[in-house]
Amino acid sequence: MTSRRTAQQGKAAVFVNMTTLTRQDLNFGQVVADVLCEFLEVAIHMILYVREVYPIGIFQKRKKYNVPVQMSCHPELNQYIQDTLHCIKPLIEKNEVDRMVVVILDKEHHPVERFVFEISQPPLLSVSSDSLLSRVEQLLRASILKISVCDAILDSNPPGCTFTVLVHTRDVATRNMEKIQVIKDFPWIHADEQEVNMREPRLIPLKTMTSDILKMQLYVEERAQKTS
Amino acid sequence: MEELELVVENIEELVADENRIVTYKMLSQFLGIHVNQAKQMLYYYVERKQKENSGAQLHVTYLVSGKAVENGMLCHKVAVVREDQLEAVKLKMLVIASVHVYSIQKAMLKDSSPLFNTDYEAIKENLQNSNKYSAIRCADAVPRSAEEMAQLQKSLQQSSRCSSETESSSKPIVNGNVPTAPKNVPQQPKGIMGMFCAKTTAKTHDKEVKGEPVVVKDVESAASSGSKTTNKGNSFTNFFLKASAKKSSPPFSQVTEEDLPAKSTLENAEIGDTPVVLDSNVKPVSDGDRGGDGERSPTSMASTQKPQANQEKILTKKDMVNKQQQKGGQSKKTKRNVPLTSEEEEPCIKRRRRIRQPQSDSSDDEVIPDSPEACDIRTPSPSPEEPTGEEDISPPCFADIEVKPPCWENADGSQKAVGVKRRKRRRVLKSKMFLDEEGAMVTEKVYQSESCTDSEDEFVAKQQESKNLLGSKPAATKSTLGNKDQLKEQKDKKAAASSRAGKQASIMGFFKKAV
Repeated sequence: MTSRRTAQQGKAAVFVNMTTLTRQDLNFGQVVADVLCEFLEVAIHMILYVREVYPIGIFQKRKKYNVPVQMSCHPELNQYIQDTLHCIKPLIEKNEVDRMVVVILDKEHHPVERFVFEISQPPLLSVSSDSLLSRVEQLLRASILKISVCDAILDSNPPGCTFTVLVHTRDVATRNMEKIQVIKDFPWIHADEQEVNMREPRLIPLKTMTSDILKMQLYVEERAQKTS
Repeated sequence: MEELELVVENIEELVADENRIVTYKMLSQFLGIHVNQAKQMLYYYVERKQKENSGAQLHVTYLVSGKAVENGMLCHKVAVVREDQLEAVKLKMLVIASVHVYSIQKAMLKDSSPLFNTDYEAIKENLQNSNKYSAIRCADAVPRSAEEMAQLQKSLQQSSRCSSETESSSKPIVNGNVPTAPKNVPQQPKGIMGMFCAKTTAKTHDKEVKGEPVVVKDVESAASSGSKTTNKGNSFTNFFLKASAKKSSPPFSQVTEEDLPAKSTLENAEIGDTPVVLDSNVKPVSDGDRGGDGERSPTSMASTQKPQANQEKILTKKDMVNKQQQKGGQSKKTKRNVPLTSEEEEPCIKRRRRIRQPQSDSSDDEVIPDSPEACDIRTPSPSPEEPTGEEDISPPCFADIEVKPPCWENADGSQKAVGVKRRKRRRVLKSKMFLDEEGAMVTEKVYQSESCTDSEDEFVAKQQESKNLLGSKPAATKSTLGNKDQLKEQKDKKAAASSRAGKQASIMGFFKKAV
């Protein structure tokens, strides 16, 4: 039924059958990073659509995980999101990302909402019955659905909001990130405390998913009074 | 009643507590009830909530179906609309077949994507029993028996075998490329290389199969398809035969290598014999072709000779073909001249001699004559002693046959142009020299299509130049030498003219012909 090759022996893992992978296995890290970055891209677009950060007219219906999703067709916005995730991907591969936060800021650059994606990867992976990652896809699809209906539990945002992406890393990953400029002309800077911390936050959990390759918690921190 | 309350509680929990979208399909699967019952439950819940006027705001979507006129056409319309759009849509309907609650949710939906997402999840979780609680039934939809399944599997296997065979041919069709012969499929897009492979495969096939007409036709059709005109295809294929021999493409080189020992033994002994043999073989077919003999002769030979003799003749044929291709490649002309002549002895001899001459040329321009020997073969009566210097340029094989006699009759050192303008284009390997950016002389050998009329004029110009340069000697030689020597001199003059004229002439010629 399965061929079990332990990564401790330094052999490449076969992903089709039952395998046991460890962090050292580059394939595992790349797979998780690819899956997660794809999901995060869709999630960011959905957040921007649902929270009306940008006009609805720039969004078009696309297909992801066999369900329709709303994605922006504005090239600069898309490029910004892609560049952001392109820089994050190496960190995800090394499991140096603690969480990724999509912050919606008002005109005064005060955060009104923070969509927090807490990411963790199991150290030892056993891809047993989900070799095709169908279960993972189902969970991600459910997360997308939760984002779609989150406006029912959130207050409407004030007009003129913008957004930014924060990455909380572990240990010295930020130092490495400064050394390695993944994309030129796309520098990362330390986030202001003002953007990181929100006064009087209200935490609303959206979705918790646990799978073989990925653990993720999605919740929203909302400012109690959005209109100052 | 208790069941009703239980259902309402479930809906309350799903919508208010879990903030989920509850569609009638999802509720039906969730509670295991009929879809119509689920619709009624949802309607009851909505009515109850509206009566209570509770703080929690609910958003409801309805499904409306009926007859409507759209774009001037009467159609049956099914629409999922929000509650604020319900009345407007109902008014547009001519006949309302049904209106029922589709979903209940707390969030104001901007589009229908979350509804699809919800139903997708609900159905996927109960994929095996997705229509268990459905109202859509079909009496004929009965699971197949084991016997029927076995028969279906057999038929599928047979069809899969057939489809796999046709897939290779169908795929190019889908992509817009239909190969004329299956073996040419991989080479077809490559153009010239496809011609090489078509020819080489045809040759090997001839060897093995001993000349089936189908092979010849396939090759010819492939050649014609590649060149888009049958006439040009013949010349092109013959041209490529020669070029491929020069380039020694692997399959072709195999043929040549195999023929080498035969050549060495047969060349001297059978130079005189082969024409006779060929004649005896060719007569029934009345083919005068030589280079094209690579394709045609095996057919005639197979029909008239024993297998061993056929092989020898095939080898001899290939000898001649190879020699032609190495030296002059006028074989394409022979194809063209199929119906005309059967004289091959003298043309063979002359062809060899003429072919050898260019090898001594130092010219970089490799203007490959189309078919001097073709001209010879074509004309039954004209003296083969009077092939003109046009052989180098070669009267076009596309030319009308009627044009030929005047060509031969007027053949002299002056290289008068034939009265009838022959518009023919042929591909010529020409070397172009130019100065690159760094000031270095760069020589490029490219295949260029040029019109033979222009080339003839050019050759005439060259001849005149050479006359002026060389003085009276060429004239004397022309008047005194026989046809073969005359050809030699003409070719030498041509080479001299071309070399003396420099590469500029060829480049200008290219530009002229390109117009």
